[in-house]
Parts: sequence; structure tokens; C-alpha cells
Amino acid sequence: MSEATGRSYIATPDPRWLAAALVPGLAIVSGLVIYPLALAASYSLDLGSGGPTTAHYLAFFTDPQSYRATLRTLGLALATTLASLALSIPLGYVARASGRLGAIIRVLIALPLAVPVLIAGYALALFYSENGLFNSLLVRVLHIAPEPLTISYTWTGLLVACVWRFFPYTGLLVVSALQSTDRSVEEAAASTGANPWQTFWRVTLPLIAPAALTGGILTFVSTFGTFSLPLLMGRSAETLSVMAYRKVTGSFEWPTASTIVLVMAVIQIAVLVGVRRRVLRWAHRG
Amino acid sequence: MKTKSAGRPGDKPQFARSAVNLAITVVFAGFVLGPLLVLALWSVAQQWFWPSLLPSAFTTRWYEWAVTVPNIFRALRTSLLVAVLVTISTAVVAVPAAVAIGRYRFRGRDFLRAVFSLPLLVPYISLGIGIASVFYAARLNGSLAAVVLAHMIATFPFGVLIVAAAVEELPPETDEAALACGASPWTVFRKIMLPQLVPALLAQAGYVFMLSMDEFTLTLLVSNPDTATLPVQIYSAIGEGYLQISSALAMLLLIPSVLLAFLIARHLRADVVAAG
Repeated sequence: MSEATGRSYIATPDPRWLAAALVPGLAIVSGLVIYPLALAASYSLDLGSGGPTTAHYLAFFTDPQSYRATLRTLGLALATTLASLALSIPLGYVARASGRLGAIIRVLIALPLAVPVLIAGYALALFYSENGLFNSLLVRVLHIAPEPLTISYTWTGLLVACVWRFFPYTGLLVVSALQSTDRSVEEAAASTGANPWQTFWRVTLPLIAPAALTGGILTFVSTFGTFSLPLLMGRSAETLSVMAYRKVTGSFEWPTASTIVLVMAVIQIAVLVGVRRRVLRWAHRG
Repeated sequence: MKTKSAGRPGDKPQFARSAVNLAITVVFAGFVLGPLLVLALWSVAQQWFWPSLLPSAFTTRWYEWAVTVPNIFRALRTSLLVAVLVTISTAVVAVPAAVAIGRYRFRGRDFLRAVFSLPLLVPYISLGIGIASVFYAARLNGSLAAVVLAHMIATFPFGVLIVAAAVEELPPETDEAALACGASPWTVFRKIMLPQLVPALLAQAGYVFMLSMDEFTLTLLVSNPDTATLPVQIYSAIGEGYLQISSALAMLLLIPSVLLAFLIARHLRADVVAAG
């Protein structure tokens, strides 16, 4: 890539041009992102009304309801990520074994990205409802289950919805990584006596690990922060995002809502900055 | 492609393996397409009772109803107006920033790139609650300006990243030569970069337009009934429980989104768009 050659960037003749180009963007980010988060922080500390106080944070960390919502949200993000990784590997093997199926699979993986999250949540709630198409396939056509399963509006339904909508980040990266791995390395392992499982575990997996981890983090973060899907799908499984929204619309508890969303922001930034670096270092190790 | 492994001992016969591959593809296709199919069927279902697999009668009535609901028409108009305003303002703010960080070498460039990506690091609900507090304090909440500005939180980083990636791909020698001959960065942009950037700028505008049309989380927090966009109106239709009408409305938002996405997909780099 051009960045690697160092020839892409040139010195600017006059810093005033740079300032003119950059100031509007900086104003947007400062006014619409940094200032609002700072205001939320001041609300969460009651700075405008007698504070600073840590009461809202203490309440958040001691309240069993928010504790459960935190675990539920983190568990959802983790389960969605693991399910996406598990799903992407067989799809990647199929895609690389057959060019025609591979092309179909790549389109199918990308398709949910084009679906507005709100619409995705609604479509999935219909599909997995107790008298929906999934259950009639299961009960009436395939005879796998004796009676309809309750999936929509539960944590499981939310998990299925998050996999549906946020799997593509993991899927696209892992499938293209598997397709571009050097097959001769795997064949060398096989010809020296490794069984397919050993070949996968020792040779293929390390080769696709960086892509899997980058994609996995994107899936994790998207699921952790999602609001539309749990709003529609998680009726009995309230995530942190929906909890914050209900605090604002139900009882106008802006300090409580601000506390929740700031805790969410800190967790997400920690995952993106901290885990990503550590995980990628692990993936690139010797 | 050569299949060297065909004769290896312990291999399953070729046809069994293709059957497994086909089965995996079919199940995955059902997983992805099933929910969209159900939505499409509900939008044209006259009646569809458990346990029949498909609706027993079809109608286009729900679409006729959906477009005559007065709120929907207003919401569609608001959505289009907002999306056009957001596309223009994002381009005006993001393109110069993208050219600066994509082309010019200066201290703090990597830091600025991170600052411009900041909205992607934080959950939308955090930004939504934050921006709603700001707009309430400024008595702006519910206004069209509030909706446009809120959408720009979501679109601005993609605007910068998509165009900056395209700028980095352009050869720098012509720009450098023009600058050395005394041209201003503005002239370089207009005469040299702009003609080469047209596909990237169109893809960026298309993507931003789509993001704005589909935006829900931020809009729900900063709009009022007069400035509700199509997704917000669809959400309240879903809440009222008219299944077929909600499905028809959802299809009206879904179909253009998918078409636009596939239209611009070739011009967008996956790594840039996935940066969210």
C-alpha cells in the first residue's frame, strides 16, 4: 500500500490551508461528541446541582438490576462474538472449496449489513416468533421439535438477532482470510503426517487469527452498544442501552442515564484500545 | 483449480464433501434470508395463520394503506430532506479534512485521524443521550437542525475515512509538482484531485445518504413528532401492532437501502466501512 512506501504524503506549503481544512471537522467532533460526553459526565456527577458526587456511580455498581443488565450485555456481546467465529470457519472452508458457493456465501454474509438495524430486529422477531415461520418449519415440516420454541423477545432471540446483524464483520474478514491462506503450507503439514484437526489447529488457525480477532472485536463492540435490536427483540432481556433509554423516557433520570452510557463508553473504549492491542500482539507472536 | 488432495487416504469421496458444502450453504441461506422473506410475505399477506407455512391469500392493500397514512408521508419527506442536508453538510466538512489527513504530512496527523474516528469508538446510545442533553439545554431538541446535526455524528467519520483512503491511493507526484510551481492547495484539489476522486466522492455521498436514511438510535432521542424520520415512524407503527402495515413500511425502507448498498459496495473498501 502507498502508506508503506512513504510517498503518499507531501509537505504542505502553508499551515493556514491545513487549519482551514481541519477546523470545521474539529468543530463537529468537539461540539457533537466531546462536549456532549463532557456534559453527560457532569450530569452523572451532579456538577450542576450541588455535586460533585459519586452517588450515581455507587448506585449503578450496587444496584442488582444494573449489575444484571451489565452481565447480560457483556454476555450477549461475548456469545455473539463466539457464535460468529464458530459460524465463519465452516463457511470459509466451503467458500474456498467451491468458487460458485463461495460467491453466494460472500453475498449472503454481506447482505445483513445493508439492512437497517431496526428493520432487522423486526424481521427477526417475526421470523422467530412462537407462530412464526421458523417454528412452523421446526414443528410441522422437519418434526424436530414437538411444540414451538420461545425464541423472540428472550435473551436467546436477542443473541440470534445480534449474530444475524453483526456476524458480517467477523464473517467477511475470516472468509477472505481463509480464501487467501497459502494452501501449500497446509498440504505440507498434511503430507508430514498431521491429521486434518492438527492441521487446522496448528497451521490454519494461526494464519487466520489476526482477521478473526479484528472481526471478532468489531462484532463484540457492535453487539455491546446496540440499541435497536434489544429495543425490539429483548423485551424480557434489557441491555444497558435500553435501560439508559428507559431512564430518560420513563422517568427523566438524566443523571442515571448519563452514568449508564458513560460506563458503556468506558467499557467499549477499553475493549477497542486495550484488548485489541493485546490480542493482536498475541496473534502476531513469534 | 487443482484438487491435489483427492487421492489422499482417509479423504471422504468428493461428492459427499460437495453435498456437505451445499447443505452448509443452504442452511446459512435460510438463516440470512428467512427473516427477510417473512417480512416480505407479511407485507403482502391477506391472512396467514399458524401453522400454515405460507399466507393463504395475498393482497397489495397494506402498501396502499402504508403510503396514505399522513404521518408516514411526512416522515418520508423529513427523512429525504434530512438525508440530503446531511449528505451536503458531511461532504462540506469531511472532504477538506480527508484531503488534509490523506495527503499532507504534518505533526499530529495520526492524532487527528483518531479524533475524527471518535464517534466510532463510543456506543451510539452514549452519544445519543449526550447530544440529547445538549439539545435540551440549548432548546434545540426536536428541531430539524437537531436531527441533521445528530446524523452528522454518525456520518462524519465515514465521510472522512472513505475519502482519505481514496486520497491516499492517488499518486502524490503531480500534486507536489503543482505545489512547487506555486499552485495553492485549493487549486491542486480542484484541478488535480477532484477529477480523480469523483467515484470515491459519489460512493461516500451514497453511503452517507444511506446511513442518514437508516439512522434510528440518535434520531429517536433528538426528534419530536414533527421531525420524526421514517425509521422513527416505523418504530411507532410497530408499537401500535399492525403487523402487515409495519411490514409494508419496513419493506419500503429496506428495499432502497439494499439496492443502494449493492450499488455502492464495489466502490467502498471493506476495511474502511467496517471500521465502525
